[in-house]
Amino acid sequence: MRILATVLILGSAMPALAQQAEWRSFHGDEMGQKFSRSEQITPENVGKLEKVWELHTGDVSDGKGDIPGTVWSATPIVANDTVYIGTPFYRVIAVEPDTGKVKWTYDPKTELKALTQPELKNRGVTYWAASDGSTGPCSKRVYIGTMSGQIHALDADSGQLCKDFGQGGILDVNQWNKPDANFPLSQLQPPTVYKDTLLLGWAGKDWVDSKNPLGSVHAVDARTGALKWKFYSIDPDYPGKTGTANIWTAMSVDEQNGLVYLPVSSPSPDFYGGDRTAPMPYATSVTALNGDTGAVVWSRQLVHHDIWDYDINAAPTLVDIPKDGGTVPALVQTSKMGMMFVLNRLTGEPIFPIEERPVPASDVAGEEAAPTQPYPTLPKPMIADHWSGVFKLADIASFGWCSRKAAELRNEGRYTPPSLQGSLAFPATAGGMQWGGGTVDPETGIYYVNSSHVVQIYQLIARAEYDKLSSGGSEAEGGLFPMHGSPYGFRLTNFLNPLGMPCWAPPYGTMAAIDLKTGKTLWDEPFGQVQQWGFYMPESWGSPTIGGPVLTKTGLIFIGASMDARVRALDAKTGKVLWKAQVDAPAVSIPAVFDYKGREYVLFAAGGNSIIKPQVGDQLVAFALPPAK
Amino acid sequence: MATTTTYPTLPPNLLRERLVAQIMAVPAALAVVAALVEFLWHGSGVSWTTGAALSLFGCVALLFGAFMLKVLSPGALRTTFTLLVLIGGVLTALAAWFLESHLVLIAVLAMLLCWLLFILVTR
Repeated sequence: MRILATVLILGSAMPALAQQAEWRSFHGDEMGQKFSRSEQITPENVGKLEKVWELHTGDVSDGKGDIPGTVWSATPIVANDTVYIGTPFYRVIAVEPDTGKVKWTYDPKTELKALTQPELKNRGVTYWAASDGSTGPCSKRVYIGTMSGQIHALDADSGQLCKDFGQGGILDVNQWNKPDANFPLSQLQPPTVYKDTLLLGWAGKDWVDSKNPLGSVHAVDARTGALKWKFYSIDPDYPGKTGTANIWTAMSVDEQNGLVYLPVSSPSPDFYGGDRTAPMPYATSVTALNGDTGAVVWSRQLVHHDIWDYDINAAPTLVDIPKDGGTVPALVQTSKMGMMFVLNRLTGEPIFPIEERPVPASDVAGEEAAPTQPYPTLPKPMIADHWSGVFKLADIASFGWCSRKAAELRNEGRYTPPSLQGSLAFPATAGGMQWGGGTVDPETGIYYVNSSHVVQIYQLIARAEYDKLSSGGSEAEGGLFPMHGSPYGFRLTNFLNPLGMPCWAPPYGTMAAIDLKTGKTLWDEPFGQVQQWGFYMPESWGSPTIGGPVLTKTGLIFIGASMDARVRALDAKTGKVLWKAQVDAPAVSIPAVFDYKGREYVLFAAGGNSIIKPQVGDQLVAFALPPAK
Repeated sequence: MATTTTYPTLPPNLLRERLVAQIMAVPAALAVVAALVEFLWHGSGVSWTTGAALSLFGCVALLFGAFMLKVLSPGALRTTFTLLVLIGGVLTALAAWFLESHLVLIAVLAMLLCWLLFILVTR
């Protein structure tokens, strides 16, 4: 009987283990855990890691020529004995996992124009295998999206289009883009897989116009592209000038409970809400839908009346937290505010209490800031409620410019609303936890996440004055945001002195470990290094980060993400750096960890992102231990 | 008709000084090579950056300084170059430290040790 039980347990565990040896989705699994069960690389031997292959895709641009700059944040997908990677030119490259040798490539021949984003962006591809175990061409597929709003379905073995999907293998998501189709529904984030369904969010631009396409998710058949259901985050009859509240990042899936989880972004325009004061409960929320019907099961708004661009930007991590001999089905939602919301993922109820706390009122005519905002009592926010104060070195170097500027700004701590005089925003839209989210050990319930400590200045500018400034308005992510249709334009700047030094005291980036069983922070250490003109700043300053971490069963955290274009392995017990290597550009992506032919590999895409550093790359690089002699 | 040329013999202390200056040029030259590699090699993490260019310039200047210390006779000009080499060495070492260019840093520190030796033999 015991043997039978063991066999049954092993039998049920084996598919999961086999799957974990691969890295089949954006987060390694659809639950957003980014956890690898690979055991070859340990804290003891990680120092011996060596580069075993690298691939340069050639799909890179610094934006100085005809092609816009590139932002490459693709997670390499490892499945079907192949590494699949999408590029910022929306090509798919399939390579051998142990050599990096190219098996096939696919070029969608899409236009390389910055249609909705200032740069060409890609966060990779999706892999899907038919759940009925069918074989033959297109029973395993790879999907890539384009900025122009198409999804291309490819046979995973050959790279040929699967003609039964959409129109000849291409699904045009824009067919559902109405009535306010002032930009295409850009497919920069690869689809999320729920059973045999693809969940499609989209990216747009919420800083140019007030009225925009309403946030939506389209669930389509993975084989045919036929629409199964659709979800709107804003009521189509909403009485106001708004739009977006879209889902531009990955979603999470609890297949066992039939639930999909949406991190919903902020509504447009980003920084003024006077024309969208009616309730919009799904905006800036985490929302659970029935994966088969699209019906809302529960939703929790994490920012009321968002006027800070605090998009919920990372797929929530789903984990069963060990407790009292059993487990609690939990969801961990990170945020740009640096807060972590730990909820029961079946009900949406908080596992640690969430309080509604009073926040500053707006002093801008027409604006009605929410009187309170949700505040989780545990875990402690990774970003403090108040900024770290003026950085003396930057202040001295600029003859007091930082102090003088700080004194001019409105600053009442967290949730200070944008103002005409300029508000000190901390945390700011570029800070907190970004789309990479965190990683969790499902056995211990310890969660690890990187955070950026960035101060920005939010300034509304009366329309007439703004139009004089911008002669029509910029579409840049930094600088001037037109917010056409609202009474104000907007200026977003990083709080730097004229020499380009941050005016706020370090650290600028941290990595932390949180015990989800208690909500207590176990460690919180500066992470990465700021680099300016080639000079590395002290490690105690840390670095802003874009990209996420991966945890292995052996207690290692692998992460790129930092400004200094290095990839690192940290000791999960202490946060201490155990290994690091230089790559071509900041690895603003989530690494993949996988086993292949008895060897464990760690794979990084080093592509850069102009938000943290003007350095681009096209390097896919694999590290492994030296072969055993 | 036979002609004889007699070369002036350098005093032993000057010979020693020139020898030390010559030795000083060796780590300076190594620093130039290392800084050049750091500047050009894509994998250095600092390639084509302002900092790496400064470091390279500093190393070249140190090599030139070492050469000048070898050829110059004692006097105000050599004293000036002696001071310049010290200042340049310290600043280049500092740059190499912040660039995390370990080879450049070691070479420049070795050159500074030679500089110290030079000071001792010129006393």
